[in-house]
Amino acid sequence: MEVKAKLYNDITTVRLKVQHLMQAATEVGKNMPISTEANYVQEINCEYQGKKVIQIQLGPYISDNPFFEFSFKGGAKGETLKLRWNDNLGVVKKHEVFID
Amino acid sequence: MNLTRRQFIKLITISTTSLTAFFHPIYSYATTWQSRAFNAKTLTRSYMALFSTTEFITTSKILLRLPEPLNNSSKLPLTVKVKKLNVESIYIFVRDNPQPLAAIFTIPTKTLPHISTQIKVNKSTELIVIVKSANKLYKASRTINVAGLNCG
Repeated sequence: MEVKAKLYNDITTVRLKVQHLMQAATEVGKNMPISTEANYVQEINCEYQGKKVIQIQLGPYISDNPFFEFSFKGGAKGETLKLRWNDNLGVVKKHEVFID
Repeated sequence: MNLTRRQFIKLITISTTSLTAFFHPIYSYATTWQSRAFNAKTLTRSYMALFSTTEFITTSKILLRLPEPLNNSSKLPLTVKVKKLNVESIYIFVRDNPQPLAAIFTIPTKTLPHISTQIKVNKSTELIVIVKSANKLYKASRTINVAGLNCG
């Protein structure tokens, strides 16, 4: 997971990217020689000082290596932002980032 | 109550299996991920699972920014900005995708209703953004034209 958090004019902007295939389930068809199983990120949470800043729920039709940008009021330089994502196969990853 | 060894083992197995069977569904629904809405194959079903209505207030307070022209339909950048509304959540739908619901953003008051992401679009279709604000549902939509570009 790549995360950048920048403070500007009392607003913290977060840009994040999760390295993930984001594969939708497909069945064997005309242009599909093989079937694929669904494998995608389902939820991304971001917390600042114990409070939820955003919760993102995803379906498989978000692009691979999903990218998000959002911003929130407040934040201070050097403080940490806690992030967590999980996918439909039960992989859970946590990440912490300092606000620049 | 006196139990024989055999009765005791029987009791233990029955109680543990029934308990796991009883608690398993509760545990699996404990996550907030809206499985019914995300797995819905049509837009109406997804609407019903989320809002139990298909009527929304069309508004110009939701701004959608998409690139013109589109040059990659598997990575369509999209920015949603909402003006003058106390946004609770933002829902993104693509009408003709096999699973129309693309994402849900839950936004507390301190977070700005201004988000960007990238979505997959299979063919020319309609992009629908629904915003929930003070128990009202607002809608904005835009047609996406990807004809002749999906050759990757």
